[in-house]
Amino acid sequence: MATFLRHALDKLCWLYYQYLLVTCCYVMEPWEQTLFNFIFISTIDMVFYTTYVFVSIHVYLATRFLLKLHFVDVIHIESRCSSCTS
Amino acid sequence: MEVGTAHSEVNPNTRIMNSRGIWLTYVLAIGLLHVVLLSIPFFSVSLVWTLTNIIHNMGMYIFLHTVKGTPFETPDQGKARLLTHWEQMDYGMQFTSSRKFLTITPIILYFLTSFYTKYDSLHFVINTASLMAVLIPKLPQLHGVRIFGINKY
Repeated sequence: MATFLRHALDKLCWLYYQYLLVTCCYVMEPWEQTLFNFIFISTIDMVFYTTYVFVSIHVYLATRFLLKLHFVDVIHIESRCSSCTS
Repeated sequence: MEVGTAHSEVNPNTRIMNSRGIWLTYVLAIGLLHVVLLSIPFFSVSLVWTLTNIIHNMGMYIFLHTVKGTPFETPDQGKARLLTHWEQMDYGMQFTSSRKFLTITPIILYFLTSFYTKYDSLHFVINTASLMAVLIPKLPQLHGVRIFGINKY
């Protein structure tokens, strides 16, 4: 158990090291790293939030369009759709 | 030329756009740019598409038509020192597959942008100017041409 945790921690440290290298954070000053990480993590969070809100309805509408179901009336969609407003 | 392998290519810039997977990566990178811009809450869809088009064309202009030479040493005594990447591609041969691909991509992006901006006149002017800036340097007649000596050395 302890060795498994140690290996997992080593792996995480290695992944963080790769992140620092790929994004050139490795050469930055600490304040530059903080600023870059703040912008980077904010952007990723915004992308995930947008995906969560909009992907389901987009996939649903695309499926309806591609299967030619948009002529069919669907009654109870608003209650299940997270991005629709009543 | 397979990227990351040992090769005997004198100037890898000439064949890098023919590498395996690079066209798909290019399209996915445009998609990623678009998704990131879409995630910004206060940008409208029209503005996002216009921004995608402009940023893509600006990046293309800078990296393909402004920056000259190679970032690495080449064994050909610097033949490509004064050439942009576009002029180096396929050793100057015109209408190769990669050149056609890189010509068509901004055009398709322009079509999509025009549609999603609902053909608004201000967006039209901006997007058309941006497209012209990226299409005109690709013409074969402008190979090696430096207008008013800009970017000559």
